[in-house]
Amino acid sequence: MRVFKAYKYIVPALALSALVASSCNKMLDVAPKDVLDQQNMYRDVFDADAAVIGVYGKFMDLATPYVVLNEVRADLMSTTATADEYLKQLNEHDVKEGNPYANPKPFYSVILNCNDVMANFDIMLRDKKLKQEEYNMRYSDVAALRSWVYLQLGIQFGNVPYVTNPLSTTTDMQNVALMPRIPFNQLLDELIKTMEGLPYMKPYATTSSLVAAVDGYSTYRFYVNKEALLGELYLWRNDYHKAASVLKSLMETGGTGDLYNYRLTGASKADNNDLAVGYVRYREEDEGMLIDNNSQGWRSMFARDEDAMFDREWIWYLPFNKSFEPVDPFINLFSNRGGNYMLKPSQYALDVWNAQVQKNDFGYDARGKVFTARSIDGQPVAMKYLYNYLNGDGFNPLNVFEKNGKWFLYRAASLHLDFAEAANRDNHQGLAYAIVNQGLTTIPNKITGEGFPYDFDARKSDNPKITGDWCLNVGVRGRANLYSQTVTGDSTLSIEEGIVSEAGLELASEGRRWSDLVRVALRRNDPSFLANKIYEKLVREKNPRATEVRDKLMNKDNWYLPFKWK
Amino acid sequence: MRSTTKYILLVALIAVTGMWSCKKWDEHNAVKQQSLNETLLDQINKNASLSKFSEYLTKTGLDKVLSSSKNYTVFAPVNEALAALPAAVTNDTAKLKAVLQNMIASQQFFTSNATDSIRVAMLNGKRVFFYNKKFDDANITQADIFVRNGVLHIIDKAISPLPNVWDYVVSSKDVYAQNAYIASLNFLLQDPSKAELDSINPITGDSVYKPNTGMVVVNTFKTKVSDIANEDSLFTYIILANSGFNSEVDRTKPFFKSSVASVATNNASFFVVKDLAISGLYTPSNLPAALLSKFNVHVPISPSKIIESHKVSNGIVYVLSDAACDLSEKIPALKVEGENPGSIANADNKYTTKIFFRDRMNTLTGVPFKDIYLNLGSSGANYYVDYFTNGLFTAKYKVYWVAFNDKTISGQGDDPYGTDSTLQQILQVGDYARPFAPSLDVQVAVKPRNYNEVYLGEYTNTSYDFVISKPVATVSDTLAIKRIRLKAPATAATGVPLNLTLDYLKFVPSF
Repeated sequence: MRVFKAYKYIVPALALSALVASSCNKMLDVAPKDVLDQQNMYRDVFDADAAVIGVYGKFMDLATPYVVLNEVRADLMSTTATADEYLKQLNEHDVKEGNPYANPKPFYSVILNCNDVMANFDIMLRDKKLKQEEYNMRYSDVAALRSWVYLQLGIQFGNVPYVTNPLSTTTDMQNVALMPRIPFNQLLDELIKTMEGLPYMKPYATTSSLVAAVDGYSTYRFYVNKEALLGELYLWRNDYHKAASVLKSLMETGGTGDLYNYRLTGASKADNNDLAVGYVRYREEDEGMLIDNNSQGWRSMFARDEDAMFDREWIWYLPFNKSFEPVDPFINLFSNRGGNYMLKPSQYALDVWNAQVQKNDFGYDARGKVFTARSIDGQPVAMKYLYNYLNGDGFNPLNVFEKNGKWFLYRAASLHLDFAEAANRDNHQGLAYAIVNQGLTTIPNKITGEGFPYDFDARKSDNPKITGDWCLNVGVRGRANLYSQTVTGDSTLSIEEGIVSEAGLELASEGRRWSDLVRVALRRNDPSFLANKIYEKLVREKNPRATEVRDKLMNKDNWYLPFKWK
Repeated sequence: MRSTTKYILLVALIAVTGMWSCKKWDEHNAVKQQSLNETLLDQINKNASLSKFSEYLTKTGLDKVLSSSKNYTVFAPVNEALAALPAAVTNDTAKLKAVLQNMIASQQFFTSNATDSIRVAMLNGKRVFFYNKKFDDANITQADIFVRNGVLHIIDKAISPLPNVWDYVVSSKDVYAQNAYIASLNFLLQDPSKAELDSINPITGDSVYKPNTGMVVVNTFKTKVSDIANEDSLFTYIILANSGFNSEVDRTKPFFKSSVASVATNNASFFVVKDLAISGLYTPSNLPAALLSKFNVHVPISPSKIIESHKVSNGIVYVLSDAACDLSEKIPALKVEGENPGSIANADNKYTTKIFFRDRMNTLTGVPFKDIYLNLGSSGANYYVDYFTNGLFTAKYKVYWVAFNDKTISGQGDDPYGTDSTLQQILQVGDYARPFAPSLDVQVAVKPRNYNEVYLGEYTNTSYDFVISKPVATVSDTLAIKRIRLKAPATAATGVPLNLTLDYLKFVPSF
């Protein structure tokens, strides 16, 4: 009886389900209104723009790993007592499994995103949804960003999988970890090939729909600079002439007659509206007269609004703002007011800055102890990321919860140092030295007859009327009010040493240090170039593992993080 | 069927029992005796050997405290120990309460917290040493009884509260001249946190308080030397017997000559006593040959000169027959930093914009220093910078300076700063009073790039009329202030600017 009873229900239930199954496709196939289907994502140029913006949104997740890996592993930044275990591992070059900073996954997440967008741009071009010109700009931008991320992966992890085809599902993402890995040099070749093959190398045309004012920012400088990237790739591959050529093109962005943009000009002594380490005029010998505010002088490049002066220096940056995601991660890392203060300028960095002598004979570099590594509450604080968060004089948070800041990626000083690095190795040592020290007006006759890319005209005269494009250039150290470096022994090596050291003083905590050290150490095939600097950092902080770390870093293989997927 | 169920139940029961016993094993090192459903008072009342303690708690009203929900640690003396308390205490509820409060702490302290000695804060504001199974002098006979609102330790001796150093000073001021002097350093002052606000000065923005409100008595030994009434710190306080004290004052007096005899005695006395309250506890067993005071004076302690010693709640008091300190430590060399001027000759912009506070590096030693440089050029004739000090006593001083004379380029392409020439600078030292009549007046050449001290001359101070022990310097207290003037000459040789430079001045007393 019971069995029979059950059948009674089962039969109609089966019948009903059969009905549902058969009618499903036709009856219920209505597109949901709040979900965008993939095939409708790329319909016109504005969809393409949205895709580009989306990629950069994802890219901003790399701000933390980029700065942390490139600074904490290098010599100028160190962990504080409140740093977490993972940062300490990086500081002591002893990365254990599970370290979230040493995870390649977020990098690949951006890469796969780029791949997908690029494949769809190809389809859009084929279907004539994008004009050739629109396609060129957007495709080149995303391809360059992907190359930039790959370069970082290669620097940090050594051998990595090189994926360029679109993968759409999350399971594919997991497969990346299992793919074959290519050596760094092969990766460089691939990236350079990609970059050289790009149809468009300049920034977006100002008429492009991607250059707009959004949330009070102009987006023009948000996108990766392809020439700067290609120049760096050439530097990594030791193609010095090519590097110098492409970087020179970027240095001359303003064209003939533009004396300011990316030209690295000096102090404007009459009004101090400049980006230089300067003092109130005629009072340079008074320490209280240093120009130290958010709208004038060297410090202002990290603090000022995105005005014309800002544009003279910054080539690539991305903003963090209280009104949009992601939240600025740097405040928590660096600030001892309103943040967790996990990272600080290392004692070694402070010592190096304080070993410089300014032109007013003050025994320090104001870029260090005043601007980049300011002492707040008795603690050295990496200030560059905090000038939009803390107020300008007392250095208290303007509003603890409003985390405004910027991710600084590339600027004129980085460009000049990169160019000098290439020129020095390409037998233009004198030029390299001038660019790093007191500028192009110090080269003989103020004009080089050395042909592209080493042709610079820094002449200035009234009769005959000559205004060379580089007549206002003062060099990296000149702008910082420092005396020139001395050159000893082999001039190429000595000048290169000087360039790396100056890059540290100028660009500290901007996320370039580890790359610089690895690149030069690889070029020289001299692990001690890198290992000794890290050793100095640890020794001066009385870290008992200093010697152990140096021994470890004397083996090149230990420069790279384990490729562990999480 | 039923028998199966029975077995299952049995197995389950065994398993559950097993779990319990397991737990107990895990915590075998936990607090042994715990009665978490009882308060401290319940536990004390339950214990027959604590009946006297319980009775006193009720008498003083502390029973309500110990049955409350806050956490306490009680060091409860047994009946025999409490019987030793004098009747004067047991019959006076206030005194008795103070004694009991000296054995109750408002936090939990287990013996495991006291593996290193700690000073437990007691309810009466005193701190008592707790170390392993010792509570001050008492032995803890039964430790770590953990109850709902705290911990109970049973001790074999009642620990009565001791006076602190300050109490001791006041109580023995009739015996020791030294303590009488310290106790006399009381001044009536207005405490801004207690005073009534009258108005705000519109020019300076300072608060103006109504007179005679919030007046408090301040002893300047506590504010200028050490707050010896502070129960949280530990002091070793040295009392010199009257003859020893007087002889020390007499030795010090020559450095405080004054037209007013009482001022001289007062200052000399202050200079004797300021080094006698030393921070840290030095018991007789770990007493070094000399103790270093806050003002860097070594006080010699010879065991044969110790007349008596007293334990106090925040340290120890020694009575010494005498202790002669090294006068060269008492009257140290005075350093006046160039970059901290007191006033300048003329505050016009054309002068002040040429006064530079510089950062310099001694390239010989690698030590950075700050100095002042007045880049006045030809307009600097007779220009001066004044420094004021109360640190010059009545002694003969040898005077030195470090004046760094150099020339630097302008990084901004303007004229260079400073000079290559040898500068001429005048140094004058004398009384503060105007017109300025310096008793030392020398003109000295300042050679270029010299980092070393240069001897300038001798200065003898004949009178010191400032009362050091006074709380706040008012205008009328400026009597002893000396004026030190760094001055440019009226004229200079052709091409030599009238610039001034000073790293520091040093006054070294001779004995």
